[in-house]
Amino acid sequence: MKALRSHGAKLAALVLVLVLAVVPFYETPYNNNQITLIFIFAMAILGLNLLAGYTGQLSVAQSLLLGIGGYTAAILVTEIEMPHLLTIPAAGFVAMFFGWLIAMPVLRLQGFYLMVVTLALVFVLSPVVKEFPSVTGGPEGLLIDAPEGVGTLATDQYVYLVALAVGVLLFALAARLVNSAHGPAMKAVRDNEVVAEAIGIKTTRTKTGAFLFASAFAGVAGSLYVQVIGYVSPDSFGIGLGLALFAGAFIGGIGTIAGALIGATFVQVVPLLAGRTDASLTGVIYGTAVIVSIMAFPEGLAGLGATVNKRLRKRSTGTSPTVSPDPPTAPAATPTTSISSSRNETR
Amino acid sequence: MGALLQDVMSGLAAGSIYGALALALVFVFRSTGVVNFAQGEMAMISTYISLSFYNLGVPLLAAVVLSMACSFLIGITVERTLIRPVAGRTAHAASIVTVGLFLAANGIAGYVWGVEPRGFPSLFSRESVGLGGARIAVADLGALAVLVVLVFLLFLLFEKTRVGLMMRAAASQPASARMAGAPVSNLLMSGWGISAAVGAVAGALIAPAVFVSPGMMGPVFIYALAAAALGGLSSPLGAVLGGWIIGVAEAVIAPRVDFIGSQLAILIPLTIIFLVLLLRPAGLLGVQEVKRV
Repeated sequence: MKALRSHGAKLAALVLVLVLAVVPFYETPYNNNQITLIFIFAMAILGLNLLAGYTGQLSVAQSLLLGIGGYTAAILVTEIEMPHLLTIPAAGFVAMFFGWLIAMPVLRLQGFYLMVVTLALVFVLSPVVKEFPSVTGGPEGLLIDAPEGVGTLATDQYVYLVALAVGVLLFALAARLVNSAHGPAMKAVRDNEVVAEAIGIKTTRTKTGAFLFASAFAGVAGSLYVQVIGYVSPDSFGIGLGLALFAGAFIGGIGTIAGALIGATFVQVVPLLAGRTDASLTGVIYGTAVIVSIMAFPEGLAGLGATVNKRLRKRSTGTSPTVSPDPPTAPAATPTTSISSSRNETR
Repeated sequence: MGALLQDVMSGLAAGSIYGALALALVFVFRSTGVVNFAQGEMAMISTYISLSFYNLGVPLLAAVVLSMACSFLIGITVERTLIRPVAGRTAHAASIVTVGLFLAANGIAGYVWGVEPRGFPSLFSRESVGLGGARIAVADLGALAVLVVLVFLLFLLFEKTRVGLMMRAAASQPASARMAGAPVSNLLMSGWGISAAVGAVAGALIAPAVFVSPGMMGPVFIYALAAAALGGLSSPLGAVLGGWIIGVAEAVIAPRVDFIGSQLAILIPLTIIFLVLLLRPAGLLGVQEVKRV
């Protein structure tokens, strides 16, 4: 049953990627850029999902790391004319390094203290960037040239396909990670750190690893972000984006790989739709969606089917879903359970 | 000497505002164990409400008091409708809901009142008084006085009244308190209400300086979080001390260290949060939690 489901998921993912690979040849440059941005946010949210969803470390600093990646790429392109493609791994590594610097002290903190510190960190990027205008361009930011198209591919098509390829790579990496022995270790840290420590899981190493993955994913996303936007400024990566990514992770389904793509679509599309009437509606929709998704669908939109199924089952049989022999949501080792649901089940 | 005294006083005044908001955070934390990330945004909404009353012709002081009453109602509504349904589900669910509330409140304010900053009249005169060779703004003394009065009133409520005793019981031992006949759910709700009302005061104090806009509380909230973390999230007195320490540190250090300047002043609360959480995670006056499995 489980193997079947996993094959089905692989097939669905393959079809999705093939369809997405054809899209840029039929869409306008504007739409291609919008979809590319969805891929980019999906990478950042995916990283956050590994950190917050699987390992239970809530961070709103993902926009900071995205910004670090973005600035790294922009500086490398403008200062030493590094090819755009090479800035992608470079930005990933630089963000990972900063992530490591942050993780060392911060991961000793728990729960909301971690959120408090990451929230404060997000406010640091803009003043620091403005303080060193010779490298960062100061308040005006940096303009970078878009990468040139390759062969018959126009720039927007080229960047789209690069982002898609990188995205596929990161999603495959994340899926591999959570399906390896590290996956259950991460969840054990999330569900009860003391117990995890007691059964021999190196909790600090697990948490740091998750933070490094989250940082690297955000850094890679940041380098692609500047290739699409062609511009970085100190205020592009503030608390607004940080909270939007955080919201996207929870709306899509925290603790699910597929949820990242759904969350990213939400993060990119809602402001565009809301902007037609009033830009302020974006916040209202984000906020409401986060609250509703936490209250009503503990597994996010990606787990919607499972949640509904579970509730129906509960109603029809009158028994708790935790004791049903074949629960519609997968057991704890597969990536469809979220923090809240798995905690519920263990209680 | 005069300059230092002046900086210390303006630091204490700013710190009083951070302390007031930190106090709101602490009350929510003490009563429901939740860090309300929307506390600043709720205070921002309260400030818009104060301003709306004032623009209707209500005297400023009365407008703020009316807004405190409205905020109390908003606070209890939030607890009842948003926090209670997820209470006890996971440690983080309620805090994540408050992040959602942060985003929603910000958007609602922008939608209802627009995003352009609006002026806000000061509760105090713009005069300043001489004190030991320094000029101290009356508004600074006023902010300080308001916080002291606020803390004193809350102290009386919590330590000297029956309701306060029940609130403390409900926060520390909800099950036992319920068995002893305390209306626990109403008490938790009041905790959120009181916090929101205290936030309204913080908003009215800071508004003349930063203007009223949906983003007005962002930096202030970071300082308040730092103050609450420094003092210990469970200690009201700690929140106030934390606010003062951070306010004074900022006002005294920023003008004297060239590197910091005005841009990097935000690093001061951040450094304080970092140091405190690493060296003494429970804060100066907080109580260390013991983990049990």
